[in-house]
Amino acid sequence: MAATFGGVQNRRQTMAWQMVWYGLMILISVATVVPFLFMASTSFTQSFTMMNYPPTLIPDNPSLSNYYEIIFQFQEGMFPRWFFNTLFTTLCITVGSLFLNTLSGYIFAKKEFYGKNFVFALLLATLMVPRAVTLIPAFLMINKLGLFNTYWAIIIPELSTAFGIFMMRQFISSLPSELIEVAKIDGAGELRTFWSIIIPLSTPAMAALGIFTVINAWNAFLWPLIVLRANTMRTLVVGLATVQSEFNINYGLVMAGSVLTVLPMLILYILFQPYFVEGLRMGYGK
Amino acid sequence: MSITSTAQTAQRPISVTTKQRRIWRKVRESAFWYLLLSPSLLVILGFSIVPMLWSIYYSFTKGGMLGKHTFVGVQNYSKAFQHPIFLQTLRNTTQYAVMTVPIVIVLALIVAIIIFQLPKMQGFFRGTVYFPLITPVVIAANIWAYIVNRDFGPLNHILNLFGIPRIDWLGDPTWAIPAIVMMEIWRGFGFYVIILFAALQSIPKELYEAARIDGAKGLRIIWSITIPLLHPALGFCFIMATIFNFQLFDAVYVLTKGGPAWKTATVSWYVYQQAFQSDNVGFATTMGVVLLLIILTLSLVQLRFFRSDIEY
Repeated sequence: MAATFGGVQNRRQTMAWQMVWYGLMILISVATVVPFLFMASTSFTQSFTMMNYPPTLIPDNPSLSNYYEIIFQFQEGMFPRWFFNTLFTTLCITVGSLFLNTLSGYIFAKKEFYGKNFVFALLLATLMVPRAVTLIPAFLMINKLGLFNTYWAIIIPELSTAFGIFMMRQFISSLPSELIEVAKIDGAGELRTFWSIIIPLSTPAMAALGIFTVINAWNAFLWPLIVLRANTMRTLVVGLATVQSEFNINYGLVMAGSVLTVLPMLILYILFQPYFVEGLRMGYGK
Repeated sequence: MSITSTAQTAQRPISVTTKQRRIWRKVRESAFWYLLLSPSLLVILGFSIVPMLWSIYYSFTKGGMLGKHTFVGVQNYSKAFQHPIFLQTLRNTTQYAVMTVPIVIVLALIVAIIIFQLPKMQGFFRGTVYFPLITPVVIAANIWAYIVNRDFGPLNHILNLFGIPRIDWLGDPTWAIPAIVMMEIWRGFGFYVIILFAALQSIPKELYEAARIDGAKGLRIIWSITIPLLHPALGFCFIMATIFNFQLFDAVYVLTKGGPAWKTATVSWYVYQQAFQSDNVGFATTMGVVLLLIILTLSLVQLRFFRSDIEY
């Protein structure tokens, strides 16, 4: 692959170019990640604003006091509560939507029924509808259902997504149909086939979709901002964004909260890296 | 099963009954599959198409979140197109997209091609450039506020080293949009890198071999083989980037709240502001519908433009 774009060049020339490309990529990677290092660094300093000038990546007197404060003291333990809210809703959304998206993806991939192509096209078309146009009626609907300020308000709208169904359909289409036929001959019912044949075979795609869902649910902002009013119901992201605009609070504290919010996703991202890239390819790639 | 059906069909006109029975069976099966699909369909259509139609209805009425809506015809639309702030947000939104989309895609294309021809560490570099996308926009924007801070931000510090005077990035009307655009590029380009990388992998190696035998190399190969073959993927990236960037909200919420003097406000931001802070639902939905029409038109135009006849 190294010589994909190169012509017949001598070794030394190729080596020199490779060094240039590596250097450039390292520069780009550093530029991409450095802002987050500033976040981490500020979280270890005590300052109301970011007073360090010139900017430094390694704080002078690093301390964990911001972390102590945000976990144990901040608004009488509000942060752990936000953490729980985020964790709980993310788990519900992920489990629920993985099941529903896989089921629907399977039906669109392997079953024939009236109106299938139309309904599938309709689902894909919803991806083009901007949030600005759905936001207000969706909010009114949640209100009418009496779900305002409950976990359900953020869980229900995410329980199935057009993107998720599309991705699972793509994957399940590539599974051999004979497997389903064999299960039928063995006397398995439709749901039994789905549960014990399709789901086990779809685990790679489900892992990929799962990590997307977790990250999206964990990071969601606009919708939770609108449907959760009470401070105790807020998710981490909404809590951090609102607390900062409402009170003039210690910047280091906000950064400590941000680090604690990003950290679980970072760990997941590193652990699931192969699935993740594969998932993007399945969902969007050609 | 087969015995009974032949016995039955023997007594009746064959073609009609079997055909009817087949149709009836497919209707029953369809009903069963729709039953299983119903939770997904309810959630997806219930939170997209249904609210969209509802918004279109509201855009012809006047009223707040609660209480009655009175029908006012196209009054909201005629108001919208004379409304200085709405027109400003429309201009701003277009400006964000026009500045962000080409840069982000060209940058992603260059980075994807560089990573693709590296012999090692491809996964590592893809992982790092995508990293900002796993963080909440709110947090990334918060960090960005620090990076571009007038007094202690690293960006001004670096510019200062080159003798460029301090810029009040988020406070100065001329620099506020570029500051947010830079953030969108920094945070978003990794997404397109992954997509374009996947597309690069799907180009058959033989094509490069053939080009090399013909004496082409380096940039020439990229220009006349890679780019044309990436056409569908690039088209997809353009459409996605346009849809994303015309809906910019989170970054504006955190960084500027639309200021200074509505200079950074987007349509999405103004819809939110009018609906949830000024309780002006009729007008807010009208602006939402206008945005929907713009996004729909742009997507369809781009789909046409990028419809490719290249097969490989």
